[in-house]
Amino acid sequence: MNRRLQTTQARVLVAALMLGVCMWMPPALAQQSTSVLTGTVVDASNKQPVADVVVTATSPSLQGEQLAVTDATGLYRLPQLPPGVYTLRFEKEAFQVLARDSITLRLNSTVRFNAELLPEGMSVTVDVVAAAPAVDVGSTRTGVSVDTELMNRLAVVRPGSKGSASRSFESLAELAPGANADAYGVSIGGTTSPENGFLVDGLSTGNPALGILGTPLSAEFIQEVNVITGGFMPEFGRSTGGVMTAVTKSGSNQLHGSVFGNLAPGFLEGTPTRIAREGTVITTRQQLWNLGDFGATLGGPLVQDKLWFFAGVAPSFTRRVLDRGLNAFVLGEDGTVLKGEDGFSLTTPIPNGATRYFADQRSVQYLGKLTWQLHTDHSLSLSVYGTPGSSGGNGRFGYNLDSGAVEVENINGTYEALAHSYQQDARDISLKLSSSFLDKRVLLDANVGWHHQYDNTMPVDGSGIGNAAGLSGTPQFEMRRTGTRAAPNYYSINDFEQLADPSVCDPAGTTNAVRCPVANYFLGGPGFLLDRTVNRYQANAVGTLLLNAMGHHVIKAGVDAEVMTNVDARAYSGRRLIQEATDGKTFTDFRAFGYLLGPDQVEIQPQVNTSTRADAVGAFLQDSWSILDRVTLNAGLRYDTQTIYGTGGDVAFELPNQLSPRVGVVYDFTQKGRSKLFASYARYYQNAVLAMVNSQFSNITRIRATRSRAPLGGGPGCDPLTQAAPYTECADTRNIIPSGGSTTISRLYNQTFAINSPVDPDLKPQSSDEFVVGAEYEVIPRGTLGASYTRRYMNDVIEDMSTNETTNYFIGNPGRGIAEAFDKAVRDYDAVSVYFNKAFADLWLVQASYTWSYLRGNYSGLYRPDANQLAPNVTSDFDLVSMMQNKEGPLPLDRTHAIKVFGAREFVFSPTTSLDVGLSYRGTSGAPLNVQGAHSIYGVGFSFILPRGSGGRLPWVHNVDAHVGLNYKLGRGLTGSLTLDSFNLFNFQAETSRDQNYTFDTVDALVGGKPADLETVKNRGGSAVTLNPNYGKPTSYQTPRSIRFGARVSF
Amino acid sequence: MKTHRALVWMVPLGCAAWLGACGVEQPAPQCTVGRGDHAVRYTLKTGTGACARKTAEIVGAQVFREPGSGVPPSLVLKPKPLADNEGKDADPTHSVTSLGDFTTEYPTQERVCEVPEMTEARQVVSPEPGTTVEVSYRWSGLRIQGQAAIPGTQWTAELTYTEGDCTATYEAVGLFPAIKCERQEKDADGKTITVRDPRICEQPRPGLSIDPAFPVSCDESTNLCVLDGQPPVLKP
Repeated sequence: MNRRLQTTQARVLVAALMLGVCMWMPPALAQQSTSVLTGTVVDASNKQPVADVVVTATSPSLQGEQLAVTDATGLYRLPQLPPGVYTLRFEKEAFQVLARDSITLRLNSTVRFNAELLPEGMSVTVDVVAAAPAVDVGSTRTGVSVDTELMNRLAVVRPGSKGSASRSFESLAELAPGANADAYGVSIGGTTSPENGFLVDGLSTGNPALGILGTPLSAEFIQEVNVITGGFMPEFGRSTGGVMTAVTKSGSNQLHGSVFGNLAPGFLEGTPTRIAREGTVITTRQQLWNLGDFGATLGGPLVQDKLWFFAGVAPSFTRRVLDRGLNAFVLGEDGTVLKGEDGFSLTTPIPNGATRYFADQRSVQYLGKLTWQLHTDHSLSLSVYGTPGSSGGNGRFGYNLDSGAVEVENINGTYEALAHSYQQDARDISLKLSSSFLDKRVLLDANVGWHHQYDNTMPVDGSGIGNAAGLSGTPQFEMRRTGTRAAPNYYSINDFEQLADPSVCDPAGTTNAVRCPVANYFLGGPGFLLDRTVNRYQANAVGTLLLNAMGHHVIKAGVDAEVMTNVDARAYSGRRLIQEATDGKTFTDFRAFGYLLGPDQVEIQPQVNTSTRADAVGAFLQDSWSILDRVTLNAGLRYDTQTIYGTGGDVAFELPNQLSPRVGVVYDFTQKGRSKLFASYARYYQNAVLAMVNSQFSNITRIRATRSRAPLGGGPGCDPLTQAAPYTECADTRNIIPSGGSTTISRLYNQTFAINSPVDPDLKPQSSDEFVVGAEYEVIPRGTLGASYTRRYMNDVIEDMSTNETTNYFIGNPGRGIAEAFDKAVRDYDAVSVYFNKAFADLWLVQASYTWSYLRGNYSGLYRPDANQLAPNVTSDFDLVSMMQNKEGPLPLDRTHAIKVFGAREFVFSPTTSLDVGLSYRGTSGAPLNVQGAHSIYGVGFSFILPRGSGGRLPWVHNVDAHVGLNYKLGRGLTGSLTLDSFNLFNFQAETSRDQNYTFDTVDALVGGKPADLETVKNRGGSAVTLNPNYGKPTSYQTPRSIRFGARVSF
Repeated sequence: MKTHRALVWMVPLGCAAWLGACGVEQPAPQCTVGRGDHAVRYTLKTGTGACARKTAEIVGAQVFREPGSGVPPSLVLKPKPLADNEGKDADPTHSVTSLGDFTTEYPTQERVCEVPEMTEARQVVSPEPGTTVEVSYRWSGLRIQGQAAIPGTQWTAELTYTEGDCTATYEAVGLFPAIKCERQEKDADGKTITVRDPRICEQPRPGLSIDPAFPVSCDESTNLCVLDGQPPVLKP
């Protein structure tokens, strides 16, 4: 609040001027809890610097208090402070004491607070500024800081989103303008979630294999999260997306603790819209049963002013119910299927055909932290945190490890074939040293850490991986006999399952079922199994030098190194995954690990093992130079290099010489820290992750063979419907149908990928460039209005490709070098954001933003949203030259308009009772849609019949969330609170995806075609295409309303 | 200015920290050949008579290796003239395939893989009752290119070919995959006829295609797309 204060009495002496407060927030890779308070102190009467002023900083989040003394130039520095709200006190003999409270110090920020001290006895008319300026005038950074105030006053982390049971901090990134949830996390600035960097307490917690968040730590243990969407300094490297930095809570001199519980009961979930599809015999409806977490935290001193601790534990659980139904088609008198009004075939439930399954998931979050103040200038902290969990098994379905979704959408098979038991554990240990020297003008922060992750995907019977017994030794069969359109040849449900009354369906053995046809059914074992351990060992050190030379400089230099390792065992249950031909006459070993030692001399491996590694070293130097409290110039350079080793220790490829220049300029025209005009340029490089190294550089080869269903050459034939597990008869070599011509050397077994992927000798690392310009102005105290424009584009991209239509694949940069025949990978992003942020003060807060953006090109990122294919650097976006046509256009993550409004207000009823009310609105316009056909080699969905985006767009998705919290002071320092969060309050049910397959026929791209051309589109055979009956129909709707109750007692 | 100063010390620092990372070329792919039919063009070096008339033919090829063993792989070749009569030679000591070992698992500095010697492929058949013809192939000095985009798709070799008493030596130039430069067409009577069309060699096709960067011509006598001259990447 600004107010003009006139003093008339001689003894009214308390006054201060704040001439300029500069904050800059170069978010530091190694300085996650080292925010800095600095400034100069001058004598108000003559503007001369005052030396030897004792400056004391106190804060509830500070362990003890921090002291500094001004030097001859009046400069003081209080470095390495945790984020929080501070009070500064300036004391010196012959001057009046000056105290200033409510100085909000954000994570990674440097706040400059300049003070003028009044000599004793002096009385003046002064401006008193009651609140510290809110504009970060030292940084070009875009994004949002989320502190506990915001987390506690808004409905955040929607039940059902990834990591929602444990209330993982990741989804807080959605609060930032330009950020949207995607299948594996949060997409920032048009990039995909695996491109984001995650730093918890200064160390990277990204999954070394996939790049997505590895440790989904509960927001309960997090002090503050900084979501950086762009414009950042060289301290950050190795990611082309955004960066999320989080600081865990610490103990202080006062003992604090909490006990909490949250529950989202399923019966309060809104009704989801039924997805109308062309009828299927097997349907599965999924709903929340319940989800919640509970736990406790405790923090305080072990030795006052010396040693503090913080500990927390929070178990969480999720249960979703899967109601499986069986249906029969309704036939007319002529024996054909009747159609309903919606154009879909009519179905009727089969009596006693319903089965109820559950998908269960449990996990525990824990955090332990010790902070030791060795000396006033040196502190050491040790954090250990982890998130072990498990799901599936024992009659329950599990949850996909990467997306967090239930592993199966439709239960079109046996439980043993479709369900898995999953275990996962993430564990992080970090040790951090913060030191300051030379009166805090030189700082050193050093971290060492270990991120460890284990996960497995196992059969539900506990038979493990690569074993001959139980489900581990049983191959999976995908039954897909459908015949052709002219001569359909469907199985009946009676072929697979025992119905209570089999007569309602076609009998088993029917040539072509019409009442209960089943197009796709999984039998046998659980298929792909994995047992994986990944590690990241990391160390970094950052030195900071604060100096005055034509202004203030904060110079930082740092080095960091990391070693990522991946050791896994992978297998197909029963050594092979077997796919039936659509005519039902043959079965193909579609997936089997193995190799040939000579002509048809086969070794099928029960499992294969990978052991890969990536070493990275980086260094940076940057300066943030503040000139006359008016202009800040940020400049720096980062150097990175990465070497990737395949299984066996040979170098797979190297990504050397990554030079990332970053520059930014900020101009504060008010000169009071209340405005800024800013611009920045940055180059970001993306580190390679190990998943692609595991698959492409581990000497893993596959064997295919086609087996006859009917007995052949003395063999028993392969028929899972008449044979029993573990289907040894099917595996008989005599069943194999030889293929190839006379010159074919191995006629029984086909070996794919006989060597590791070749790499373009001139391979360039993946990188993007970014430009940001913007302006911010503090329109009301602590309330800033801003606007920014961001442009991002890709330089080189790493992908796998084949120039000779699958003859062989290699790793290269599309459009360059040996991949010159391909289109260059393009991902252009332009965005304009207008935002207003008002931090919590005077009992209310608001964060509002509108973002217009345009994301287009032919490259989505490290995962392919078209099919949710999570395959960093080896997606099928660029595999073949023949798949390049019509690929340019608005990309799947393009959302033209995004509106976000978050507001909270606290109502104080009495000194002991208050009520928090928070409301959130998020509205995004719809995703672009494509018109797809089948590609001659890759099949369904890989041919873009019309240019990307020609299928129109999905409708807007609106979402209103509400939070109500009742707080009651119970006495003796105890506070109790009850909260209610409602997500999607109005149960809006907008479509969130549609079937984009126009046809399942093989169709060539109509280059530059228009929707009108679809009427005449022909398939490869030259005839009119058969339309997919589900084309353009919704395949998913918005998540229905859910309600979460919470209770907490804290002291 | 800061940027420039930083550049001066950071690049060497980074390079020093990670020796070998600067200006590095990526590792070559492991030695292999395309699995399937290769189109081999022959240039006669010595010999006259029936055995000295080869211009081009299809040779099946496949590489075998034990993954991760580090042992250089082995190569098997199967020429079409022998393959077509497979099973007609009763002598179990005769083989229609030749077998040879690569000298290394990874290519040499010049990105070449070598198979110096291969076993002899031999077949005794009776074109007519009472007559027998003995045919043998002896391959040697195989040099197979090991470049990243297209490993094992171009190679050269020496072939000693014997047909009865006639022996000839050839220089062989192989290309993968083997594609016929001919297409089916209906003639005026509606009968399907085969027409030679050299453009086919350059057209991409699903499954297997010749790398569009290769200099390819359509062999006159066999209608096989063969490498024009020496393989560009194996030229000394």
